[in-house]
Amino acid sequence: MMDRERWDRIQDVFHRAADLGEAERERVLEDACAGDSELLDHVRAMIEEDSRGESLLDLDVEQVAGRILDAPAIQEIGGYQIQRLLGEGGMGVVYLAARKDLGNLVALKILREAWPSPARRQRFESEQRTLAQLNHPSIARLYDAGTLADGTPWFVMEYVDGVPLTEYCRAQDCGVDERLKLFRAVCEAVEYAHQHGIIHRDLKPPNILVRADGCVRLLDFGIAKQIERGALEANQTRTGMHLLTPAYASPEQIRGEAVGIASDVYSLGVILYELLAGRLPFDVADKTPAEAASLIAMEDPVKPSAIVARNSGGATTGTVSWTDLDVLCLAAMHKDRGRRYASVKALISDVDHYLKHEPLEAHPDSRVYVAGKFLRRNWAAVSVAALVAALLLFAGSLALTLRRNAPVVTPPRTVAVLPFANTGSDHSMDFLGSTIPGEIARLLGRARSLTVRPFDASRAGMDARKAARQLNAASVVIGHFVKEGDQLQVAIEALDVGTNYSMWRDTFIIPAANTIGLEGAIASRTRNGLGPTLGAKEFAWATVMGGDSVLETSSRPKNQRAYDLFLQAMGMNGPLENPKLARTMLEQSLALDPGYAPAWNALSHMCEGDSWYGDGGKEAAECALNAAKRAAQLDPDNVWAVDGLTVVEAEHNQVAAAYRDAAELVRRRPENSGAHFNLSYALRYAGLLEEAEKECNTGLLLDPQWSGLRSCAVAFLLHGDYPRAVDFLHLDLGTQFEKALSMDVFLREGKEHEALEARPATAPDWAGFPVLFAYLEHRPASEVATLAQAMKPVTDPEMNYFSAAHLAYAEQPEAALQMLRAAITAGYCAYPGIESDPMLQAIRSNAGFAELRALASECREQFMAARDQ
Amino acid sequence: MITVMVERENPMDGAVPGGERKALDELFTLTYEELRRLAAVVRRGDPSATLNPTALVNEAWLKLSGSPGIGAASELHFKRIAARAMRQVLVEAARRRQAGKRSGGRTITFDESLVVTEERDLLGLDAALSDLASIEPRQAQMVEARFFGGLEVAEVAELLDVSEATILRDWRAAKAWLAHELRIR
Repeated sequence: MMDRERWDRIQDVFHRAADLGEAERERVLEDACAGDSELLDHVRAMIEEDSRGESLLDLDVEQVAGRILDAPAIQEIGGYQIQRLLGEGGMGVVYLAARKDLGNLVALKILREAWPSPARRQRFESEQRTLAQLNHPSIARLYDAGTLADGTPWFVMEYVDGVPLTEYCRAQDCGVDERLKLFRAVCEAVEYAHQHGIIHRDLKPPNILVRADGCVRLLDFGIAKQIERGALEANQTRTGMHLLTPAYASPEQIRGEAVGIASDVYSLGVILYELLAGRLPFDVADKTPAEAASLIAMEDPVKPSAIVARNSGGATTGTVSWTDLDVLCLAAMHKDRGRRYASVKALISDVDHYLKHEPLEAHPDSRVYVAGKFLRRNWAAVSVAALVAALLLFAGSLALTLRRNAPVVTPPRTVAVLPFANTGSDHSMDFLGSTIPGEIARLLGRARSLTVRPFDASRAGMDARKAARQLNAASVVIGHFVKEGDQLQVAIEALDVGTNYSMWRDTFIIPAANTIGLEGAIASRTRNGLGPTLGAKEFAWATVMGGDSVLETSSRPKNQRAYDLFLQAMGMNGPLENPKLARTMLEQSLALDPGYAPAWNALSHMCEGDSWYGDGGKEAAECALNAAKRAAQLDPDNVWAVDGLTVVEAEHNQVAAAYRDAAELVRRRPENSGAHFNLSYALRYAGLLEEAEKECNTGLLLDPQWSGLRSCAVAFLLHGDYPRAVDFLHLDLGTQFEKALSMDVFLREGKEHEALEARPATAPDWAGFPVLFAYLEHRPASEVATLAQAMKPVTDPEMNYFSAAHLAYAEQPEAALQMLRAAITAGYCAYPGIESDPMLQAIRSNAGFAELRALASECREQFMAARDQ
Repeated sequence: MITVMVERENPMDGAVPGGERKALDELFTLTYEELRRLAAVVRRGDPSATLNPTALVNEAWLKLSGSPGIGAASELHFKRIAARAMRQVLVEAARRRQAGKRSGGRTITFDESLVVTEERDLLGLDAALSDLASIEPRQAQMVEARFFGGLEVAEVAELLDVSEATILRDWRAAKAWLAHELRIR
């Protein structure tokens, strides 16, 4: 290899000789190279290239790129012989291929744009297994999948000889009912996939074929995810979106946000629209991506009935109830995913209602929509009072938000409320730092169009953006307060995390002694300004239209003395400091005002703490349970209140009750991820892991990336689905919990070395991890045994189950059996772990295990009997 | 921050402090993804699409210039980074094709008549350019900017802070040397 000096010399001679005539050039070259024949050869060769001018660099890179980027012609993949091109789409090409040994025809799809990284390739296979499990008459089977040597994914699917749904309906001239029945079959298939935790993400007529016999077949399930993940990996979510089909994509997909059930519901709505109206709701054919995106995100589609009426040259006639069909479509296609049908099942149910001439469950887009139209079209007729209210509302917050955040199409929906700071020097009311934001979070939590993160007082002082990232929240509510003399000043602000814009802020001053007034001020601001700005439209419109706001039915404090007692108890630094005194104060407060749910909630926590850490024992446990019940009864839509109750019940041997309460919450709040998680929690204590997994999958679809779902990993872990367990653990990547449970996954996979590598810096002080660490680190057997003997069962039986597994693995059979017994007798049914958990293998042949097995079986049967009542 | 970063003596081959390196990487990743996307659009046969590197880079700039972090980079510096991204996109595609062909016997076979020399040459050019960068980074950067990024002579001159005549002269020598390298490699 030459050096810089040599290169300078070569260039120098080259420039001196290059433009000379041949004879003179030779003379100059001979002279300059003076016996350096290598130099001479080199420069001669360069001059030759220079005059020839045919190197790659003389071409336009355009031509080069054209050749390089063109896909190679493939003839055969993985035992399938390619016959002809069937089609080419955004993501890749589809060929008709034949299996070489059997000759049957398949469709072979190659994802050209996926370009996966090695890490992603690893996960590809486990996902294909899930997809291959989809076994539904209306879903084209996935037979085989793999990657080319360079990582390009390919899929082999059932070859469906059919025509796209819309084309079929046109050709057959199907009537409305016939179209709806076909659409219903499509919905059934999508719902089936959702039940298995798989979202289609790219539903559109070309992916829905109808065969000559009239049966529908859906293609390409889960394939869009491969594209999206590639884009996500590159930290560029929107890249993936561009490859999908914008005409059927939901506003949130267009914005590059997380995709869930609601996105498929939206696409189904567009398909229904097209089936009914004969055209797409938005004409995006000759629009740029940006234009299409803004159209889909901002414009209201014309009602299908209006299009049909226009095309038929007058009013729609016959037995078709177009009003209901409009509602069906537009409720599925709502821009706000919180206002769409909550599931495909709900959509199917309304299709059935329509077909049976029954009233629909969806309202004509309920109050928000009506109020919007009403104000826009008939503003002159609105009563003066309502108009004033509306103007105040707009002037106060909404208009400001819209103007300042012009590029943001809709307000963000995921909200975290952080502890407020006391910026003054008077610390007598420090408890407000958690009670004010706690109350805001509770009130916001009533809005179905918002996902509010559980309030956590321990985040005090944390950087707002960092906290928002940790909580995966699109916006945060922060604030501070100052007490000066007898006056209290409170400032509340909402920030959009992505842009760091202030979306809303307000400051007010109130006498410090008037704490009830303070609560009222917070509630009214939450309802009229903060909530609507964050996207809780149901708060605002209800006020304008004079109806009842969801806040009106919320539990609110009514007695000044009772509320002060509550606040003081909250300020006492929790159960660790003086749980008994705090408990007494709360009980006094509740005697004066038994209708305030947060006080019951707080009492439950105090008693729980007393029973865990104090000496409260059984009585405190009772108190925790009863108080949690009261809180949930008073505030049955409050996810956290019911969540608290379920946890207490599950941990106190009342799994059947936990299940009932959790199931009721899911019925009330089907759109809330936390509600589904809560149900999964009860189910996994009962040992019904498959059902628990289903709830976990739904939870994840509703709120992708929410770290609160991390403990769902337990259900998958004990069921032996390790890749999915890891998926859920990764929601909370880098925490002690994630690392510790990753060890559990590795050990069950027989990867002791990896488990050691994955372990957190220090052993968690729960679930027997210290014993496990000592064992894995090859510390003396006596040390391991001593640690094992020191372990006592805790209140949470699931923890005891994990302790048992760890003890068994660490060759402490006696302690393990005791721990397992403690878990099962306390209501943790340990199914199917008792039969199949690899970590319990070491003790399965021990005397006494058979009895535990019988107890576990009994535990589950008891639950089933109680559930069926 | 980014402006400081790209004005370092030799940003093309490291010697950039950690934080700035990271910012550069992010900008690069973003640009790279966008170019890859544009290349994919072209490949799908959209008649209005173009493979002209200048147009691609301009489109990427229009698209990304509003992004946070990129706004700080001047258009010229962005183009330089885009040129590098373009190089990467093409090299990666060429490698993919080669990898695909090599796996021939077992699972996949290609029509050999479709083998293009551009692909071999492109990988050769990539390697030779890296060699040149270790001897004369400025010149390698110039080739990258002109060939892969489609920058005008005047733009390259401004970017590297030399005269247009120097650019033309250096280009000619580098081109001849690289052509020779491609022939013998």
